[in-house]
Amino acid sequence: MLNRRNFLQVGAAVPLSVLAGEALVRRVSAGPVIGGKDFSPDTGKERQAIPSACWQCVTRCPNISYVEDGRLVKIEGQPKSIRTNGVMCSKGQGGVGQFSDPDRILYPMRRVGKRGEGKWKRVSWDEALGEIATRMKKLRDAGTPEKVMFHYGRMKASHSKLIKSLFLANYGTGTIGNHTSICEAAKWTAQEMTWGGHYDNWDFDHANYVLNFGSNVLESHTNHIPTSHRLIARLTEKRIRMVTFDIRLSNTAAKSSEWVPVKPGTDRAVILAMCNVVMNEDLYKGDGEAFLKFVKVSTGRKASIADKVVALKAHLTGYTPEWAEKISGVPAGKIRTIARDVATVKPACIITYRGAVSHHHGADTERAAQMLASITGNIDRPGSRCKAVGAKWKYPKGPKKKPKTRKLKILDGLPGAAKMPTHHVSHQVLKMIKDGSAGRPEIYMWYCYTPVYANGEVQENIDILKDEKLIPFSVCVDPFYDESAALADIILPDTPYTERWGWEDMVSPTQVPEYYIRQPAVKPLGECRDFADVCIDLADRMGFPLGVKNHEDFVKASCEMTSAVKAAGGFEYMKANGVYHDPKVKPRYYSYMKVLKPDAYQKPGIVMDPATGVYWNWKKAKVASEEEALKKGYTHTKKAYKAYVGQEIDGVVYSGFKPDKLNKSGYLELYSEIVEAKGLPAMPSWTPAPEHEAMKSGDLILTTFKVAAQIHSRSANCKYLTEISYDNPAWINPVTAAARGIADGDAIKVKSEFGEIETTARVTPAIVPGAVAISHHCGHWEYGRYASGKKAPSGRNEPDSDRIWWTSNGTHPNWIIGNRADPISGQLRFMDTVVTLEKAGASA
Amino acid sequence: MHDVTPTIGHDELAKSAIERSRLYGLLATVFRREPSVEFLCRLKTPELMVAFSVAGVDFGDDFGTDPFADIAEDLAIEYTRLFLGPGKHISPHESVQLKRGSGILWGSETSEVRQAYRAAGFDIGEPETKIPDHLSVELDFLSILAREEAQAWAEQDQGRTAKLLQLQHSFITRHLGKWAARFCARVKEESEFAFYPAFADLLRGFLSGEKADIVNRLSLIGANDQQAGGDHLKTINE
Ligand code: SF4
Repeated sequence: MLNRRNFLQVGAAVPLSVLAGEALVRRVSAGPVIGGKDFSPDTGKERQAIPSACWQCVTRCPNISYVEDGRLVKIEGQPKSIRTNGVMCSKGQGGVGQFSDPDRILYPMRRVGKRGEGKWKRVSWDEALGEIATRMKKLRDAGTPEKVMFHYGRMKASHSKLIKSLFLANYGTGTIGNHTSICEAAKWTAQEMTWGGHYDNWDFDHANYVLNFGSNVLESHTNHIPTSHRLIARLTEKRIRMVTFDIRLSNTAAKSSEWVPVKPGTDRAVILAMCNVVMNEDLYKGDGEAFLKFVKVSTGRKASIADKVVALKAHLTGYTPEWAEKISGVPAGKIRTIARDVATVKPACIITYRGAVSHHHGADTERAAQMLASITGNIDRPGSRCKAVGAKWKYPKGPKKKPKTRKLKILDGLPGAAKMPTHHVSHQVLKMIKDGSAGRPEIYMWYCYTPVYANGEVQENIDILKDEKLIPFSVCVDPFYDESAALADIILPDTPYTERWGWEDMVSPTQVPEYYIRQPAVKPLGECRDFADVCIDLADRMGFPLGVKNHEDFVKASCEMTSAVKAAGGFEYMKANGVYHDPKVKPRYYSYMKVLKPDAYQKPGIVMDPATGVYWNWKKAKVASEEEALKKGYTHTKKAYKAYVGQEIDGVVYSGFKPDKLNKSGYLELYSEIVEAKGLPAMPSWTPAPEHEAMKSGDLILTTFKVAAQIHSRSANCKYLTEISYDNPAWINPVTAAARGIADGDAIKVKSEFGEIETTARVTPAIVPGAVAISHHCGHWEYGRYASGKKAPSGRNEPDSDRIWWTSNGTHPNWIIGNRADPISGQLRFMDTVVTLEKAGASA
Repeated sequence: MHDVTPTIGHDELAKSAIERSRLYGLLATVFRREPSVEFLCRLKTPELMVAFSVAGVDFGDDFGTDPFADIAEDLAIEYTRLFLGPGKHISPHESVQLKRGSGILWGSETSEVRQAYRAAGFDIGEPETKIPDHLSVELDFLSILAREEAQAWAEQDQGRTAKLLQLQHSFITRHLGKWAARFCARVKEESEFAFYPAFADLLRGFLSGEKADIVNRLSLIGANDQQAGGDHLKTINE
């Protein structure tokens, strides 16, 4: 019988001479096309491929945007990127919806009815900017530029430089709010307390163990795709172990080797107990012990390693696994096993995110994670949590002489809200405006931000924004009509990221900086304008030109000024390639261990602070003389951290852990006198949330989370994404549900002291008892048809309204979440809200 | 060039093409932006008002009595609400409105519309900020084609005349005619003032007879030159 082998033997016998001379098919390129090219399925014509960058989430992955006949048809990853390796998430691909949203705002708008009434009139840019410039100039001329409050959500890299460092700085207002307090401020503040400049890169490429507290890195993260695709590769190819602590079986937990359910807000207890195990079982010996040289765990700076061990053991003594079990619900044995693993499988990457830190004393949870990483020797080495490396662009700085900025003291929350809000308490800005005791802005302008929807206590946000007595004039800069835009006086139509310029610098997971740019895939639709360009225009109108023509010019100049990029071919190279990294640059690890040459610290103006061992430049710190500098000391000189040079340890001067925002030493400070001076625990400690202590029987804790196909508040207008993720039922454990007679799919009411919402129950063992989890990206009541389910007017709808087959657009949990702050960092405590739950219709 | 001896004079045909061009132009202007006071003044000439009246176009009582400045302000708000948003509005774009179309802004239909302009030798002028399949751009395109048609009639260039008529027919068949009537009906339902419904009626009524008129005009080329006219009609019927 003939089989395949017989056929192949025929092939083997064929002499070359019987083959026709010329092949019909020829190779035309070096290999299969794996990215960077795309073809129209209709015409077969090659589509225009424009290297650009995503801006759906803060990760800002380089991308390639494909354009066919002026139409943005597709976005995919940039294969040349060392950060993403060409991978892109659904949110990035769904970004085409930002361009093609039929509900986009294409022209400047002025309200003509009552604020929030929804009555508008199109105005020209000239009219809109004329009015804004006149009002702003008046305040500036009166010496009160601080009465212009600018509040941004996503503003990074060249946008931040142009808008904040050039425009707002030259205007003179420092009343600038951000959104870090609703994101991960607790992490950043804790990192500033411990190892200086914030951001921890997770070096999954080299990790042999991953210990995760409350990060949903596979679905969402500030460096999502660059980290997650590496983590997946490591988990699947190297089969490394990953343990995830979470109250919920997130997709990250599900893909981990082990999910350890933990009670909300108790990760810190577990981490402290792990530290206890590591110290008491001498598991710190080796890498951890060696690293202690660079760590401060007690007062002063003369402690030996042995002293440090004693101090750590003393501090941790009460934090036993048995103690932690009572608080967290995690069995003591489990805590011990994992502590032993993380201390012995080297290198281990200890990661945390909002699930762990968005709580009362969340900053201390991050400090505890720094402690665990330190004593196991898993800091800034390959495979661990590392100091972030990003591109360092040079750029035009604008006018040399800038006015002294003035600011209203409304950025750091209500009195007593937070003791160390190094990234502000911007979610309480509206409360501060209402309070009025620190003054009120006359103009409140927000950009790439939605104060109504993004913060807690939604109703109060609406009431304040609507009140013309509290906010006389408001300007919203947004390409879309969201819940906040609906309450503005003027809307300036911004370009979505698909139509704008920018250079970018986000952290590289490879520890090698990547330079990349964003260029418009298409020209701005309608009269949309990049707000950076608008700022240049406004500055001209007010008589302080910024010295740049437009954002494109700024990007071009930056490419020529940044030596690495210039050497690669400057602006033209970047336009053609989108990304650049220097292949000769080695990944940066152990930066703190760099020994400084004497000429770096033995020069005029630099002194050693005897109390801390910090070498610092007193001249740079604007101190009058060396005597005064020595007398006052590094720690007590305002903003001395900016003049930090190095850290003396055992007679050698190291780069150390360079401070940022706080005058800490160059040690990794697990013991912080700065923190202690604020009346907070000097070392990471267990401090329970007061409202959790006061919980009554039947009370639950509400937490929120993100899903893979949506970002928090700026993607629900992208139809492909909302078609995937349009609803957000509340997750509750069967035990919790049974106690209340709730079945899967039942309509339920979730109540807190701030109000109540109705949603449906998703009864699942994939969440711990005692908690409710609701994702936050749904429940829009504006933001166009896809997000809100609101269709265009009239009975007959437009085809893409009729295609909205989903019948619910979910519920926004922020209506019932308080705008409370972590008393340390000011972070909004998204995961702490105490709620009750009942079947809808159960109470009168 | 063939000698054309029409049963209706060239001048007559050129004149009616001009009229069509102007009507398209007027509609393009109306849907392009909110009316200025000057535009309203020009609109309210006695001749035009009579013509509107004869055509059954009714702007409502206020139009006759209120000051232009007030009307302009009301209509600016009305235009914004109806056609711009922000929020719910009736997007005046073919790709958003076309039944069973892509439904998105700058969809595949928009590209096709732009290709139609380009194939005819046109493109959107800089710095026009309208998207190619905006109602006013489509109307403007037809206005220009009709204007050129008028010239072709006047110059007795039958090949060009036929080509321009074919282009109009094809554009109405493939684009404007497929969505304008539905759009106009929605404008009528949603308007607060009589102004836009009046023009929506005018657009719908006018457009409904356009294809037959174009075929008829093509046949008039045919009347003078069976060979040429027959071919032109054949192209359309295909
Ligand atoms: S991770 Fe963020 S930046 Fe990267 S593709 Fe996804 S949404 Fe865009």
